[in-house]
Amino acid sequence: MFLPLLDTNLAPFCAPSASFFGFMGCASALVFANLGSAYGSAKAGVGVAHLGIMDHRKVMKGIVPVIMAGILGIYGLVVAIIIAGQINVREGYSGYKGFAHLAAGLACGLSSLAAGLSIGVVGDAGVRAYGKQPQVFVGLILMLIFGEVLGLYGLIVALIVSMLPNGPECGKPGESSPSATPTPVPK
Amino acid sequence: MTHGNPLFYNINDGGLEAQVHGYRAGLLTQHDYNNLTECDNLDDMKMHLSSTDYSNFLQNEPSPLNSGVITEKATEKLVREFNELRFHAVEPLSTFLDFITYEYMIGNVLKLITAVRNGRGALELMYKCHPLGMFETIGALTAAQSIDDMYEIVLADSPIGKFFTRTDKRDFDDHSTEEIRGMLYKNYLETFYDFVQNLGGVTAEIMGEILEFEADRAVLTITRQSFGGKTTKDRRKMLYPNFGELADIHDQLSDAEDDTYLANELKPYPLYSEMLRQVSKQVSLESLLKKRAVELNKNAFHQSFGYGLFYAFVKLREQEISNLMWIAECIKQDQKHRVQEYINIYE
Repeated sequence: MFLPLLDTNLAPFCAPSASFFGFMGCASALVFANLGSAYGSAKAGVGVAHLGIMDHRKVMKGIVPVIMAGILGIYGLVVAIIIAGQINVREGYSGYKGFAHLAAGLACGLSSLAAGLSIGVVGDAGVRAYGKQPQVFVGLILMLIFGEVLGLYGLIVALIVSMLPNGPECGKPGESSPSATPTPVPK
Repeated sequence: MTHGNPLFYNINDGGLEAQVHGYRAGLLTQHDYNNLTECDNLDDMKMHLSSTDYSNFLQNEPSPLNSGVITEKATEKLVREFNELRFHAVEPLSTFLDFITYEYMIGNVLKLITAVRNGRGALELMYKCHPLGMFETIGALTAAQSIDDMYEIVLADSPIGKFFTRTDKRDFDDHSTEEIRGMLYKNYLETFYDFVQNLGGVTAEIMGEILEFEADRAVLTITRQSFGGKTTKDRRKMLYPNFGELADIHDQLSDAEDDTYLANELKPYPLYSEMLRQVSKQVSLESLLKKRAVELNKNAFHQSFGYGLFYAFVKLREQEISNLMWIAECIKQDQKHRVQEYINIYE
């Protein structure tokens, strides 16, 4: 609350805590996405194991949910790398940017977690049903896609939010910010 | 650490589950049954069985064999494998396996009660008891002089005491053996169902389905057996378990006196109305119900992290032993035209 008081005529203040939020965003993108991916792979993988006992020829088709769960980990990886690359305190890293990166990381990570949960449950029951009734396959793929696309929404929002240019240009001397209060000129 | 959690299930129960999958792989297939039904005598059967999981289970038996010996030895094999599982199991699997044995204990106790009621010595009937249903104090039952004594022993010292309700004591003599069996079985099913629902997870899902079918099966069997009005409606309803798909129409079913009324009441239940439609002189409702039970038990092996497959293994193996007995009897009695009426399990 008092940080704006530290803004000078020359430049808005770069809060040092901003990079904490930025890196938390980077970590949370990766960690939550991997949690979702792990759950999805594990749950669907158990189903594929049973599918293999029922009918071994269907295993390669039945592996699709495991692959779709794995993709969620990649979403998290991409967002984490992009965020990490944008945390540049030397060029000025304002609190605004830190919060934006946190939001991006959480958006991607938690969406992928949700998608992973859904793909795991649907994949498990779906491939076992596929083992008994081959016609189920198309319906199964549709359900998996609707689950996977939640992670994709998270990725899109994360990419957009992490690249928002509307924050204060802190840390670059010579430009005054409109919010800076003019200091009284000593007589 | 809740039951059925994929992260922790395998620590205690994974090894035993794998063992049961192994036993399941050893069940006789259609190919084996084809070989067995082509046999001309029981020694041929013994030879074909030696190439299956049964291997040399009959090697010490003298020829000529009879179907009783085959059944006895096959049951021995089942009991040996079950006891191995039971020995290595920890809670809650050990309680679950105990529940499986209670059904056989009920059967054994009823056998002994029937013997005493008919005035025959209970001791000789001990040899006919199912080995899975033996418990420590069963010997004491044979020494009892009257039904009331037996009742006190059973209630106090046996694991199935909890399936007798207090009111049974007062009108024990009022009920026929079949009614006592029905009441014990009803209490057993209800207790078992509550137990698996408390466990939750995959166990509740699979065992819930299996036990609901068993409850409906009991309801249908009791209803059809009491056509003709000897048992009153209230006595019939007393034997119906309080759960199952048919629980909503228990009142109407207790009124049923013939198959047409029954078929009418079962119209909202496609599975049962279809079964009733298929009943004929060649196909009994019992065999259709057995086929459905086999299907449900096979499903138990398709899910992980649940106890359903322990129950299913025992039931499928029992069906297989029953099939072996049927085939052996058909061969022995020269009724080969009926030999195909066993119930196939695996293709």
